[in-house]
Amino acid sequence: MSTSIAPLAPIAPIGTIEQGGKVDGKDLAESFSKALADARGLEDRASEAAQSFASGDPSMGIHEVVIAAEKANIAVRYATTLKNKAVEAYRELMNTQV
Amino acid sequence: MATMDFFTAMEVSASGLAAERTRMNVAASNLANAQTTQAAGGGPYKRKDVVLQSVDVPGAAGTQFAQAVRGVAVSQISQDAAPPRLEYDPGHPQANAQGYVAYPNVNPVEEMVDMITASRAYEAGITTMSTAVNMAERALGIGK
Amino acid sequence: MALDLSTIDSLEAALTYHRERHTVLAGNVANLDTPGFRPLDLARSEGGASELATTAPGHIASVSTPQIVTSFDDGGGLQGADGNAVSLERELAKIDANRARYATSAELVSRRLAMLRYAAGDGT
Repeated sequence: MSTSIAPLAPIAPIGTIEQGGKVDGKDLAESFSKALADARGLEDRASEAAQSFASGDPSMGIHEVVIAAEKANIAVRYATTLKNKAVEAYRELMNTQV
Repeated sequence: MATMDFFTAMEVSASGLAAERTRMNVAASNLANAQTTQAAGGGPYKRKDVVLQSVDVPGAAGTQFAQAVRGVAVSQISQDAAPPRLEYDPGHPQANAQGYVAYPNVNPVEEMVDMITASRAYEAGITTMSTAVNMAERALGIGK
Repeated sequence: MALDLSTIDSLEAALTYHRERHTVLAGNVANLDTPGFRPLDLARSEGGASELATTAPGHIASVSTPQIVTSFDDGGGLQGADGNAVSLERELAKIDANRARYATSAELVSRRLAMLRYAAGDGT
């Protein structure tokens, strides 16, 4: 009996830019809000995972804890990137000579 | 769905190590007493036997595959009911009226075989346990 | 822009499966000398990939449906006088192969995380 490794799902391609400058139906502000919400959710899950692992819950495994922490980390990074882009875009706009 | 962490796997392996250790100790005891004609309680030493039984493992309780996770335990150390081995030796202090001495019902060859199989199983348990540790270390290294 | 972290989920499921399988196989080794014991194993069937409804044209994400794991008796015909059907060599071979797959999946997760980290930007 052999088990095969699951085929990897490709990373979702970056969406196309639509009318009004939205990407995937969201503009930068909306993307940022969603990213922030996602980051918060993942951070909560990561802390819960760390908590239950530390308290010796046998159903919280090492790889679960580590992956939860990594996901939260990446989500926060992403939210920060979007935030900084939003700030940059705002500054540029404010500096535009009319 | 609750799953089990590596600690459960180690509990399983540990139960095997403990059981095989007991088997080795009992075989050693049988061998050491193979010629003991006067054991405590009178009469020749009686051979001991280890009875093993598969058991539930606490760490797996409530998980999806609890019934597939089998540890092992010594359910009892029983006395072999086989009669003692009689040897004709009328000059021996323990000889009975007919001149026979009762020796323990221990076959050294069998005990050696038991020792060897227990030892092999013990080694296998050690290997299995270190595999679990190895896997846990790999998990810890994710993302580094 | 979308950061799809769910691409790690199927790898995480694989890691969980291999860990649970190790626990079951470890039980077979522990019961090497238990009278009447028949070795167990865990089999896994891939759910397969399916397409999610798209939110915008051109945006497709594929997701594996949950894997189905079942336990089964892997004793085969060979057994000893006491009914024990465990073959040590077979169990140790399975345990080692399973370990290698766990290690590989862990490595794949690490690499995927690195790609996602890159896609997430460095915060500037």
